[in-house]
Amino acid sequence: MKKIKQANALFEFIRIIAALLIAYAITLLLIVLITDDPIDAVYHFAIGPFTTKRRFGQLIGKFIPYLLTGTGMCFVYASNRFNLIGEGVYSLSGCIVAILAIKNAGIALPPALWIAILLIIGTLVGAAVGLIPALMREKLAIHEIVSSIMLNFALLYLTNYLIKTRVADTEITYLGSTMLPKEVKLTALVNGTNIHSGLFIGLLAVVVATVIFYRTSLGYHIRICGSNQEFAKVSGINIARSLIIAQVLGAAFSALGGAVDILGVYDRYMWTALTQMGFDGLLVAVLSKKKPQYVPLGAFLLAYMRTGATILNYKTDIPLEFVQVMQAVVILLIAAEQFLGKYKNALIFRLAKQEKGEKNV
Amino acid sequence: MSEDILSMEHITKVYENGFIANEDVSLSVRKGEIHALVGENGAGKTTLMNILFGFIPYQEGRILINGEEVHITGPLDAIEKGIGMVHQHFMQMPSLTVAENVVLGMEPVRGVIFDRQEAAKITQEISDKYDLKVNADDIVADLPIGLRQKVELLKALVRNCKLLILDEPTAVLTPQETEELFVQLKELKKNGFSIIFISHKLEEVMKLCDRVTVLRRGRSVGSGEIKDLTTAELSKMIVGRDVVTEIEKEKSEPKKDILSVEGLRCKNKDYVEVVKGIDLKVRAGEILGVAGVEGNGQVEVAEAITGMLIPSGGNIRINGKNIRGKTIKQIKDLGLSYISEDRLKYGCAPLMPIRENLMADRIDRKEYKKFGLFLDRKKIDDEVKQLIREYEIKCDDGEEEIRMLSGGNIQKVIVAREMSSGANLIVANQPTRGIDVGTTDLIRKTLIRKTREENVGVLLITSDLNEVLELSDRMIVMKDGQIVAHFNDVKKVSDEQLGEYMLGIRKMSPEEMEGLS
Ligand SMILES: Nc1ncnc2c1ncn2[C@@H]1O[C@H](COP(=O)(O)OP(=O)(O)O)[C@@H](O)[C@H]1O
Ligand SMILES: [Mg+2]
Repeated sequence: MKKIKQANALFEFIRIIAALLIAYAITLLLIVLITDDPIDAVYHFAIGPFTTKRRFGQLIGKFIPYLLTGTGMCFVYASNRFNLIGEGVYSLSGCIVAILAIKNAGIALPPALWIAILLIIGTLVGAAVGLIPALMREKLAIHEIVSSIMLNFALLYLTNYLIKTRVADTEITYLGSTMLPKEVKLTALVNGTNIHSGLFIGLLAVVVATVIFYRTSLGYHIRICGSNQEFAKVSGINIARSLIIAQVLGAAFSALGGAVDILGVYDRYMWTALTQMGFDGLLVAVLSKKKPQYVPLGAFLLAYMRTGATILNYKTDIPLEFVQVMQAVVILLIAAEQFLGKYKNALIFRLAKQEKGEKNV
Repeated sequence: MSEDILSMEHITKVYENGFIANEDVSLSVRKGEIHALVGENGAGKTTLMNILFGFIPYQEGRILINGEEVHITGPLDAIEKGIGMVHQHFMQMPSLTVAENVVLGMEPVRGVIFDRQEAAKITQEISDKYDLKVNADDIVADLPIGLRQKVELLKALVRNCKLLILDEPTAVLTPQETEELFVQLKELKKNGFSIIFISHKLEEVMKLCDRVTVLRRGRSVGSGEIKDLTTAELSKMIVGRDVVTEIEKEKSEPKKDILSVEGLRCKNKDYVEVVKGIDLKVRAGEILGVAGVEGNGQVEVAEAITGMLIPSGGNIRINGKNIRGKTIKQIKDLGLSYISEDRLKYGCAPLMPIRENLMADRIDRKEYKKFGLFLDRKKIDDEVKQLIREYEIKCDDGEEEIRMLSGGNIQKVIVAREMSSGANLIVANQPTRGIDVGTTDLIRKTLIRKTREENVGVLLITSDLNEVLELSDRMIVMKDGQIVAHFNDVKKVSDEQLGEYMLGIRKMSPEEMEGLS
C-alpha cells in the first residue's frame, strides 16, 4: 500500500520535472532555429528576469496579483467549476477603485485607512458580480464557462465606458484615466521597482485561503463537492451553497488582485483590453494543483516565465507569441494527468501483484 | 478449438488504484452461439468486455480471434475486427435521428454532403434484414429504451460485426421488450452471429444461452453447456458460498420500531416500476436481511429510505418521523446511516484524503469547531486516529488519498464513518462485496455488535447467501419488486429453500409472512 502511494507521489514529481525539461528543450531548440543569436536569446529568456533590479521588480510586480488571482481560482477549480469571472472582475475592481481614488483625491482620511477602504470596496464589487454566474450555474444550470466569459466582455466594455465618461485623461493619446493621486499608492518596498506592499496582502490572502480550505467546514465542503458531488449529496452537504460560495470567493480574491495591482504598479487606469490576469490565475491554480499553499510556487513560476517572455520580446527578434506557445506546453504537460501514465500504471501493476504475492505466502 | 471465434486467455487487469478487476480470466466463444457471461455486480464482467472492445488496456494474457492472436488498439479497431458492443449505458447522440446514429462515423455522402436518404435506406435495409424494426427518421431521444437498444444493435450490424457483446441488455427492459429481444437474438444466432450476453438474471441465461462462463470476484470460476446445468447449480456458481462461515451471535431482543415502510412503490430512472408496494419494519436491536438476486428492487428500497430516490407511493418512517419532503441531510439527522453498494461513487471522494472522507458527514457539527468557526484540528485528528485504529484501516496517517487504499480498506473507512455517526438505523447495501475475508469479518462483527450492544437496527441488503443467512435475525426475500418470503427464524432456512424463493420458483402467501410489518 505504502509502495503504491510512493509510486504515485514519485510519478507526480517526475512528471512535473519532465514536463518542464521537455518544454524548455523544445523552446530552446526552436529559439536556436529561428534566431541569429541563440545564446543571447536563451540568456534573456532564462536568466533575464534576474539580471537587474528593475526586471526582478517586474517579476514580483506580476507575482503579487498572481498570488491573489491564483488563490481565487483555487477555490473555483477545487469546486470543479470553470468559472472565469475572475478575469472580468479583475478589471472592474481596478476600474472602480481608480475612479473612487481619483474622484476623492485629497480625501481627509489617513492613507492606510483610505487604501483599505478602497481594497474592500473593490473586493466586494468583485464578489457581487461573481455571484451572477455562480447563481446562474447552481440555480438555473446555465454553464458557468459560457456565462462567465460573456459577462467578462460585458464588464470590459462597462469599464471602458466608465473610464471614458468619468475620469478620462484628454491629454494622452490613448484611453486611460487621469493620474492616480499619490496618497492611494501602495508603498514601494524597493525603490524604483514594482515591488510594493501589496506583496503582504497577497501572502496574507494565501494564508487566509489555506485556512479556509483546510481549517473550516466550508473548505471541507467545497473540496468534497468538487471531488465527488454524488458523495457530497449522500453525506448531506448543501452542494449549491458550497459551490456558490466557492465561486464568489474566487471572484472576490481576483477582484482584490485587480485593486492591489492598480494601486501598486500603475500610475493610471488603462486596461482597455482583457488583462489575462484572471485566466493566468487559473493557470496558477493548475500549476499549484489547486492547493492554495502551493500558490506562491505556481505564481512565481508563471511570473518568471511571463517576465522572461517579455524581456525576450523587446531584447531580441523573437515574437512574444512564440514564447507563449512554450508556456502553454509546460502548463499542458503539468495539467495532463496521463502524461507518463503508461509507466506509472505498469509500476502500479507490478506492485499490486507483489503485494498480493506477499499476502499469499 | 478452430470453431472458437474468440478466446481470451489468462487476462489480468489491474486498475490504477491497484484494484485487480480481472485475474487470470479465460473466456472462449464459439461461432454461432449465445454465450452467457454471468456474475454478481462487480465481478468484473464489464471490465473484461471493455478490454475486448479495446476500451481499456490490460496487463497480462492474450486475445485470439478466429485462432489468431490480435492486439486490439481501440474501439474502432475492435469494430474493424468484427466485434460490436452494446454498452450498459448507450453511446448515442440523442438529438439525432435513428439513421444518423446508425451510420455515425461512416456517413454516406453525396460529394461532401451527408446523404440523408442513403443513410435512411441503409438503416431500413439492415433493420428489415434482421427484423429489428425501427423507424429510420425518428429522433433517438424520443424512443423508448427497447428501441434505443435496437439502434445500438443496428450500429454493430451495419458495421459488419460478427461477434456482438451485450452488456446487461435486459437490465433496462420491460418483460415484453426482453421477450422481443430474445427472439431477435435467436434470429441473429441463426444467421451465424456469435453473441456474448451479460446478465445476472438466471432465468434469462437458462432460456436464451448455449454456454456460460461465470465470473466471481474477478476470476473465472467455471464454464459449461447450459443444458448440463440446473438453475440451482448455476446460482451456486454465481453467488456460491466460497466457505460456509459461522458467526456467533446472541439472540436478538428487538425493541421499538426504528424503520417502518408501508406500501412503498418506486420507479427507476427509466420510469419502470421496480418496487411494487412493499411493507417492512426494522426494530431496534435486530438485523433484517434482504435476500434476492440483484436487480429486484433492493437498491431502490435503500435509495428511497435514504432520500436519494423519491418514491412514487407509500410511506417511510424513521424513528417515528415520516421522511416525505425531507432533504437527505434532514433524513440523516433522524438517525440514519447508509453504506452504499457503489463505494467509489456514493461512499467516498476517491481523490480526497482518508481523513476528509472519515469526517465528511459531520464536519459542520459544533463539537468539531473552535470559536464556532475554525475546525478543532486536535479533536478531528484524535477521532480520525481512533477510527483508523478501531477499524484497522491500513494506512500511514490518514493523509493519503483514499483511492490509494485497497477495496477492503476503502470499505473500512466508509464503515467506520457510518458506524460512528451516532445513527440508530443502518442501511447496509452489499457491505462486504468484493472485499477480503478479514475485512468482511470485521464488518459483519461490527454490525452484530451495534445491534446487540447499542440498540441499533440494521437493514442488510446482500446477495451473499452466507452473509444473509449468518447475520439476519429476520429475513425477507425480494423478487420483481415484491417481498416473496419472510422468515422469523433464519436458522431454519436452507440454501435450497432460499434459492427457490430468490429465483421465483416459490412465493409465500401474505398469511405465511406474519410479523413482516
Ligand atoms: N476505473 C476503475 N478504477 C478502479 N476500479 C474500477 C474501475 N472500474 C471498475 N472498477 C472496479 O472493478 C470491479 C469490477 O467492475 P465491473 O467490471 O464494472 O463489474 P461488473 O460489470 O461485473 O459489475 C468493481 O469492483 C469496480 O469497483
Ligand atoms: Mg457491469
